[in-house]
Order: sequence, then structure tokens, then C-alpha cells
Amino acid sequence: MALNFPDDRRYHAEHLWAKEAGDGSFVIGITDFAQDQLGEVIFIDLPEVGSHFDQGVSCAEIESAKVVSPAIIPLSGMVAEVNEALSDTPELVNSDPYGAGWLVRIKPDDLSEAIITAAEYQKIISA
Amino acid sequence: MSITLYTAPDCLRCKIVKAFLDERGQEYTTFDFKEDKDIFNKYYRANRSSIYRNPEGVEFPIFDDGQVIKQGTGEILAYLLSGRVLEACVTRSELLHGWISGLNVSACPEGQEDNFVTLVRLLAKGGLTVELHADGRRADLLKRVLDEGFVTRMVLDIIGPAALYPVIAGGELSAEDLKQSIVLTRAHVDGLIRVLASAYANGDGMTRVTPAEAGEAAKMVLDACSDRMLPVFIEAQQADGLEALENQALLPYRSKVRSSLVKAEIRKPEAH
Repeated sequence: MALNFPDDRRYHAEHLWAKEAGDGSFVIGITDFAQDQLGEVIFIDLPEVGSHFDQGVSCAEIESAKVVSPAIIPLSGMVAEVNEALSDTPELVNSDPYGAGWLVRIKPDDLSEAIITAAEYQKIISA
Repeated sequence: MSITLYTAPDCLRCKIVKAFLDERGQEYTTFDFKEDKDIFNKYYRANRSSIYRNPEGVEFPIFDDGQVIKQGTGEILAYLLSGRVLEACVTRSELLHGWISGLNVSACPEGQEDNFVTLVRLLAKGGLTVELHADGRRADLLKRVLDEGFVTRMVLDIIGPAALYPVIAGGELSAEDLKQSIVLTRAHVDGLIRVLASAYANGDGMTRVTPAEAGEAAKMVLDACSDRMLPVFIEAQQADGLEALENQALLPYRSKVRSSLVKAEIRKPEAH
């Protein structure tokens, strides 16, 4: 099945996306390409609400039976909410990476940080 | 106690454990992490802190009897053979791709010799390539295991001078045992002798064998084999809480060891 990269959000070369939630905060998740590469996700180690991450560092660890992968945060910011549903159903990351499988919601520090479009991201992963 | 095994498809290590349980007529339930993913995933999340991952992911099989969780074919079989008694001499295997390590013949407790030999036999006959470690103690048992012909690689680790053996290994080293161990290792087709910059716990936490102590250990080896040309490798043992020693930091070890054993070389840990 072809991978999907919706245009209604921005991407980061390390395979995460960020989408404005409407209140100035951003929802963060992994891309369809990333979930496809990881395979069946069995556990996600999410950060504490209130913790802060700089752009480009790992904010969570995503585990499949074969690999543990860092989730590289696409924007600097403070974690306002984590997706609690993932503790019992981490497979949502596989089945709905752009919706119910979101990882965290952050309050960003700096909206001018570089972050790329769906088309630019697709160029990177197909290179 | 009911036994549950979590397995992976086409997993040689899983087959060895299953064959052993079958042979003993022990009942068990198996779940495959792919076919029974809902059961496995739930189990993994509930027990993640007790489950080990190697560089290629979760190590299968996972064994659970309701009291302990064990992973690693060597560790599981050791547990099935003798409960926790063999834990000192059967630890996690660091080798992948058909190899098994983590077997230290020198740490085998008195009375467990037959079980240790059985364990090595089961692993080798099951299709794994065995790397056996010794530290110079228990040359009698080392000879017995090697005579079975199941050991592909033999590694003799000199973990420090004799005076430190009780602290590091929990037992005395006899000169005669060391001498015999060196002879046996040299006679083995893939025998390797290492002088380790061992990491160990003393009263104040973790510490490491110093270059001077490694030099004393090398002198002890020379006294045992009377051969200055004995090829030995110098390797650092890594441990939590201790700075990793890179090649540069091992140079003082090499110069101390070379004053007894002139062919000593620094060796990088191997990965399979």
C-alpha cells in the first residue's frame, strides 16, 4: 500500500510531523514512512508532561520487537500532553500515525524553526 | 508451575528450549510474537522492565514460569537444569548469529559439573556454536568440557593477579589450575588468552584492575607457562559507572604486560 503524507502539517527529516492544534500548540507524531520502517510497535516510552525538548533531540522511544527507535522532536517546546492511549494500544502508531497514533502535544518555543513540507519530506525519503 | 514460552518464528534458540522441555515431558504453552501478537504485546508491556533486548531486538525465547522470567537459551536451560545454582557461571550471551557465550566453566559451583556439561552439550547439539570462557580455575572441569568436543572457541581470561581472584571471581586461583588451563587453551584450535583490565566491585563501588596489577597477572601467567612468547590479548571490561577504556588508555596495560609476555596486543571486543 502506498505511504501517505498529508499536506495539512509540516515534517522533519527525522520522520516526525507537527500539526497546529488550533490553540497555538502542536501535535507531534511519526510519519507513515517511519511506522512502516519500524514494523509492529509494541511499546512507546513517552516523556513526562512539562518536560522540555530542543528541536532534533529524542522525546520518546518507540520499540518494536526488532528495534528501539528514538522519536526526534520536530520543534523545540514543552510537552503539554502525551497520548495516554498508546500505553495500552501502541499499535495505533501503525494503524493511524497521523490521527489516533499521535505521540505528544507541545507548546513550541519558536515558530520560526525550520520544518519542511510534505513534498520536501517525500523527496528526502525517496532519495 | 505453568511454563510459558514466547517465541519467534524459525528461532533456533527457541527450538532448543522446546526440545528440552519435550524431552523432559514438561508441559508448556507457547506464543509466537508475530502470530499471537496481541498476547505477546500485552505481556511485553506488562513485563518490559524484566525483558532484555540485544542489538537485534527482543531476545527470544522468553521463558516465564510465574516466578521468574528468563531469556537467553543458556540461562533458560541452566535454570531448568538446576534452578538458580548455575547463575554464576551461565550469564547472558553477548554473541549473536548462531553463537552462544556467557558460559564460564571456572565459576561452576561444586556439585554442578554434570549439569554444566549437559548444558554445553544441549546448546551445541541444538545447533549453536559455543564460546566457552574460563578464568584459570577449575581446569579439571575445563578439560572435561573440552574433551566432549563441543566448544568451538575457548577463551581464557586472566582477570587479575591471584591475590585479586577472591575479590573479583569469588574464589582462589591455584598455580597448577592456571598452568593446566593455559595448556588446554593453547591446545584448542581456536583458543585465546586475554589479560583483562577487569571491572569489579570493591567496598566503595566499581573499580578496575590497574596497569600494575595487569602486569602482575602477566607475571603470574609467565610463571605458569614459562613462555615469554605466549600470545595474549589485552582487553578492557566495560561496566556501568566506570569510564570506558579506549585503545589509548590500554597502552599502559600493554607496556606492563609486555614486561613478562612480549607478544601482548590490545584487542577490541568482537561482535558477531
